[in-house]
Amino acid sequence: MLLVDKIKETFNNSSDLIIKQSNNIYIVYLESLCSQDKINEYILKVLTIKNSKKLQDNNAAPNIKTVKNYEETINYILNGFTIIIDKEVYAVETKGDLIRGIESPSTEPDLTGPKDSFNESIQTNLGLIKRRIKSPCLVNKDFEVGKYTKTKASILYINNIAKEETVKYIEEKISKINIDGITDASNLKQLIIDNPKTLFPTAILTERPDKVSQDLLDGKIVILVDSSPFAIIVPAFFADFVNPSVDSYKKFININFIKLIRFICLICTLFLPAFYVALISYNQASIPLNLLINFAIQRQSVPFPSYIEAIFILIICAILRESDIRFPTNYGSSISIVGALVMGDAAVSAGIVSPIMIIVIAITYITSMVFTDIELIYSFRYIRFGSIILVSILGLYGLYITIFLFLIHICNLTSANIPYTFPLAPFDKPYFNKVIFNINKKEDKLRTSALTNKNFHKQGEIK
Amino acid sequence: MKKILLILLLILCTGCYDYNELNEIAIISGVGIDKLNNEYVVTYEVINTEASKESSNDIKKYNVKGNGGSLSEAFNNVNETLAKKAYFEQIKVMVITKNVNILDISDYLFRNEKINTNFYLVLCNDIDEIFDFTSVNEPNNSIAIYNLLKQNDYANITNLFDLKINTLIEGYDISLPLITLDNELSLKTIGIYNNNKFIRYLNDNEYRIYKYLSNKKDILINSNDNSIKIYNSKLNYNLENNSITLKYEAKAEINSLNISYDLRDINSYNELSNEFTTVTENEITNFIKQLQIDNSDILNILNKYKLKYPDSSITFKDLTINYDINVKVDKAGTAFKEVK
Repeated sequence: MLLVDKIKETFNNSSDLIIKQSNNIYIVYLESLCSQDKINEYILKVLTIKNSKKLQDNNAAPNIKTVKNYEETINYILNGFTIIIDKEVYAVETKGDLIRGIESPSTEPDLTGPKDSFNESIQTNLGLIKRRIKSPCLVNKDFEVGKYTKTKASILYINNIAKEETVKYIEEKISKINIDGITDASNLKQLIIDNPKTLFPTAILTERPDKVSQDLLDGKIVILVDSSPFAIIVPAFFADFVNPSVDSYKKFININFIKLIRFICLICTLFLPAFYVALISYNQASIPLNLLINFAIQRQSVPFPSYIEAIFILIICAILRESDIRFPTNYGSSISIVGALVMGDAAVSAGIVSPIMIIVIAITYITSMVFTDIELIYSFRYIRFGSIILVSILGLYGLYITIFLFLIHICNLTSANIPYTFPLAPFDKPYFNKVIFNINKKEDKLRTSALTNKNFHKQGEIK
Repeated sequence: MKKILLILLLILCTGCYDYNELNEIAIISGVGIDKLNNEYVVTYEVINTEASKESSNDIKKYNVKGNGGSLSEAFNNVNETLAKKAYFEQIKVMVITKNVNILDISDYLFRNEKINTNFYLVLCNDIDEIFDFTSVNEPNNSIAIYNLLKQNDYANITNLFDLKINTLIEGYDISLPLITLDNELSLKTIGIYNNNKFIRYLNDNEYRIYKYLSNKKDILINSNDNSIKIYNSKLNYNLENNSITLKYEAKAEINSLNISYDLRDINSYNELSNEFTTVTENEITNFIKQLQIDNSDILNILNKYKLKYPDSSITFKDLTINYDINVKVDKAGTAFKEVK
């Protein structure tokens, strides 16, 4: 059976499989993946030259390979190569540009710092990182994930910084994956994280190449997935999600104040509604009398208990947020208007909720917008609802229970075998100074020992 | 599964015991207790949460009154007249008359877990008169009294009900501020107690001396048409050889001078200091002697003495007190050199 017929059969006569013949030479490619221009330029033009010794020598294509077996042939066809069947079989890269250009980051914007972001091509993404780290020590190892999708995943690390154990640990996790397919980095992320059942994200998904480069320099490991504009960074700790890496572009004194504000935001967004419900329905003695009078006057017309009121608006807010994400941006503004009307004026004047509750929930939602990781925001939602339910039964005591449960839970998590509460517990000064409380860039000379065991100095001479 | 069930049972069976929805409670800002003909009369000042904040015509508070043979009966009677659950955690002040035995009410209040005892205890002559009054500035009288105490430096932690009762239980004497109605609520003097027994109110002069002995600032002392204002003072007790010495040191500035002193001359200040030291010493000596006659140790002198000599059985009345008073006038204050 001819190779061409075998290929035809394998692809079940797929309509985009093109087979051309010229002078007993067959060329085979998938129309949907290849660029017609490249095929013309690299192959068809060469085939017309007579007396060519070897096709490989006369070809201007940057990537031309000799194919050894049938599986490889299929693999190349599926990856946008054109197969030339002569006496030997060659694969010429003629991939079409199925990707968009490099755009500015949409989910992690920042005022300063680079404005490029990853796109769906793993090569481009790799290029964006290698442009920043021009060192042969930056290693990338490719893996193929998915029985059908055969998605290319690439592990990146700097081999004289990153810990070998961690690299091996991640490699093992990826090689153990046996799945039909993944379509995005977040699919892969869910397959490799330590605690899949937890609410909290234990690996960072980022679209910023500069963030990836920074983390590589710290000894973290990055996984790029083809056809995904996000890179996975492991290990990732709770503090990493609260404080974005772009902080390092700003002066340390100024950014430390913002970090403090972020910490306040974290407390507010997690526990403010529960704290308010506890005060209003159990611990009224803790509110100054004049404020309590105001609260009482405003709550007078509301027929529901305060925890029902809080849950009701929180659910409406969650629906609004979800619809805002799902709905096309062009219609987005109308959603916000309806949301604002329902939430604000109408609900208060209808006597369903009290104005103070609107303020509390508004603060809760505004403070949650400080954090960009969507998974983190989703996990906060659970804590918020959980704390309200416990508070509705136990008052402030319920709030303390929630806080302790939250702390116990995050203390129980690990990311690539490193505690999730790192660098607070266990305390680690270099990483603490990098993420939680920045110090002067000049004095920030050490790398954390949790992420590296061979190269501790990132600045200055080793004494 | 068992664990979850256990946790659920624990939470559901132990929860909600002190659950009060804000619109189902009657917030009581002040309580008045009087004893008339062996009956307790209890008055609550309740905040009207139905009132709109903007409208000034709405009634911002209302009073509820009840009586009973015992304090708990009186409290229960008032609670029954309330449409909502009485909420005592926000009481700012408790107003009593001199007929009320403080230890009796404390006994009831401390045993009642739902009453917060972090409030201020004040005296008044007529509770109805105080609670029925509506001030233009602050419609809630309890808050108005609290603000008044705060302004007069009486709303400090040592004057909280708990600590007053503690003082009484330990066998010492207390003093309570007297709230009177003089167009507005006002604090003119204090009532002194011998342990739990009301003795009398201080007169204006005694109250003034009491104030500067309590290290209050800006108190005027007059002598021969001259007057000084104390801006810094210190009251200490020296305990040696079984005797107690009251040491009062004050720094003052001149408030007004009627006799011509040359304020550029340091001797003038010395003269003034000597003059006012003598005046103050007389005032303090007479005041404390009067307190000894009344047997009311509101300055806690005996307490200090007994800390050093705990075995002594001496009473405040018989205690010999030495005085070491020093008033230093060292600032010209508002007095300027005469323009010729």
